[in-house]
Amino acid sequence: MATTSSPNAPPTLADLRGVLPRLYLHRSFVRRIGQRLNYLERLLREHGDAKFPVFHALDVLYCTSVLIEQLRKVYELIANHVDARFPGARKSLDSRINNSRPPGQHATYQYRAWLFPVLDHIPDSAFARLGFAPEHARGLLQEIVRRTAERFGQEEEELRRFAEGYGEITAAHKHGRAIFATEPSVSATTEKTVSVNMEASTSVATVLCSDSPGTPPTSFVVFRPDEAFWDDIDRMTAILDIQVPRLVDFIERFVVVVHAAIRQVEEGRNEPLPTFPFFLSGEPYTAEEERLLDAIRTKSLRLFDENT
Amino acid sequence: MMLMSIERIVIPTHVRDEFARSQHLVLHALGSWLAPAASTYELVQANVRRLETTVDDSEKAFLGWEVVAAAVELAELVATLILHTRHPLTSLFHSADNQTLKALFASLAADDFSQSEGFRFLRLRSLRGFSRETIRTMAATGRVVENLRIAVNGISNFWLIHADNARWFRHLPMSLTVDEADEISSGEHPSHETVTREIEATANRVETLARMDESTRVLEYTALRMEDIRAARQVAATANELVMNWISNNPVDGRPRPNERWLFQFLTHRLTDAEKRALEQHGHYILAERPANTG
Repeated sequence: MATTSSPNAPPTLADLRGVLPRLYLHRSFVRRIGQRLNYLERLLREHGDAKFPVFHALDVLYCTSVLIEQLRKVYELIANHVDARFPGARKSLDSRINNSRPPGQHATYQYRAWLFPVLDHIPDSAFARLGFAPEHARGLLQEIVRRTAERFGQEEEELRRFAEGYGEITAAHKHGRAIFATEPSVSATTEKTVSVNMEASTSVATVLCSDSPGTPPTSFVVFRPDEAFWDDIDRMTAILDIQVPRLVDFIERFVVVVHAAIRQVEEGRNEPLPTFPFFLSGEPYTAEEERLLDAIRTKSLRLFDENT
Repeated sequence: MMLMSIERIVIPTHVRDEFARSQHLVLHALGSWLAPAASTYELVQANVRRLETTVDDSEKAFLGWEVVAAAVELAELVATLILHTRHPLTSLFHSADNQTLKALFASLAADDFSQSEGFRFLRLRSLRGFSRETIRTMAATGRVVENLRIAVNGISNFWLIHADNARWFRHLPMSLTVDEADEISSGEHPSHETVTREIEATANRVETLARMDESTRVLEYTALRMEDIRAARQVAATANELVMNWISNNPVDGRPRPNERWLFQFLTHRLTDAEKRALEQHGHYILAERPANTG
């Protein structure tokens, strides 16, 4: 979103209106992500009743993987200012989320995804209005932001590892269900030769992996929804349960702020805007940090005022 | 620490060569598609049931798109079976990319699925002689194949309409509401009123959305209607039966009676009782009201 640029001066009406198309698109995207999370929770509740447990587990896996892919695309859209109104930019997202990042970009990625750099531009007067010494409050906030970015960065790394680890299975599942209810086994027939047997199975599913399309497979990848799989799903849903609702609130509140700012500029008013939307996850907080966060939650935090 | 419940088994070269020669593996694999097809169809049914009872419009739209996307996936199972039947030696393993699928479905939608191909696809029996029963049975068989062609045509048209919608929904479901699109364009595009009238005239809309292409400055409007969702459910049901019928009639390991030939309900739809009797008694087909494996 355009608001991630350094706000040296209050935005103009044109700036604010220019933000809206991408903001609306991002909002629709995160709302669908929120719905998909609810849908995943329903699939998890219904697993015990499934007639085809392995393939129901695959539906759970696929839904989780889609959620992870979509969440990471939202990060990418915001952190790297990808303008998804253009077809090329939309297409590039598929690979961008899996590309490695240069160390400098990686270190600041979660800061940019959650728009934390904007906090550097809060004027001293805004902190003073909350009853805090500006330098002290800024220091507290920076430390909370550092812990938050570190936590989200670690969680993103877990999401990425999950997506990569189960990638062949989910790709086969979504591409025409190229995954089969069969279990391969290899046994030695003589000292130098082995045979491969395939048995119909109701407990595993197998992907045939080839080096190139239309050629015989070079390996089988067998998926077994065992306890370890459900532990992985539990961990992913724990991360998604925290990040997705925050992301939805984050974008929803951004829309509210931008609409309020447009009204103010149109009417020539300069009143406090709703609190600037930022979401922190730097738990545990010290008593002083809690006091600052409470003040920010209950009062307006102005990015611009007549003293800026 | 994250544990992966997956195991990779490398296939020795001589076994790989054997797979290529015998087609045994691909037939075994395709024959195991009963469960994924039935499971996907079961998910479609569960989502439709949920959609019909929810009062939340956004959930209704989400489930509607989910049903459409699942139907597109089931259609792709059918595509793979058709490709395999056409080219059993060159299409040894699943490899249908989007371009291949698009070309295939476009040709099938244009009726490039002949009577003889339908006959081969279902492995129907050729009867000899000119007795009244034989002629009646062959005529009924012709109608069975015609039903198959209609089903394949419907599945193909559905895929062509909705494959891009399914891809959008799965990968980057961003859109504007009609009001947001109006606000952004300020009603400046000349066709604005026409578009608004068309949207308002579209009945049973579950969701209407606009997608942007800034490079062409085009706003594309799409309505998901209850009719689309019903069509998706129908396509999913037909594709599921079609996959099961193919598996039931093809030489796959483990079938107890390999000479049996099954005709599921979508193939005998609109046949007279006399035609059905001829198929059963003279053609020795087993007519199924519904696929046994769907439970």
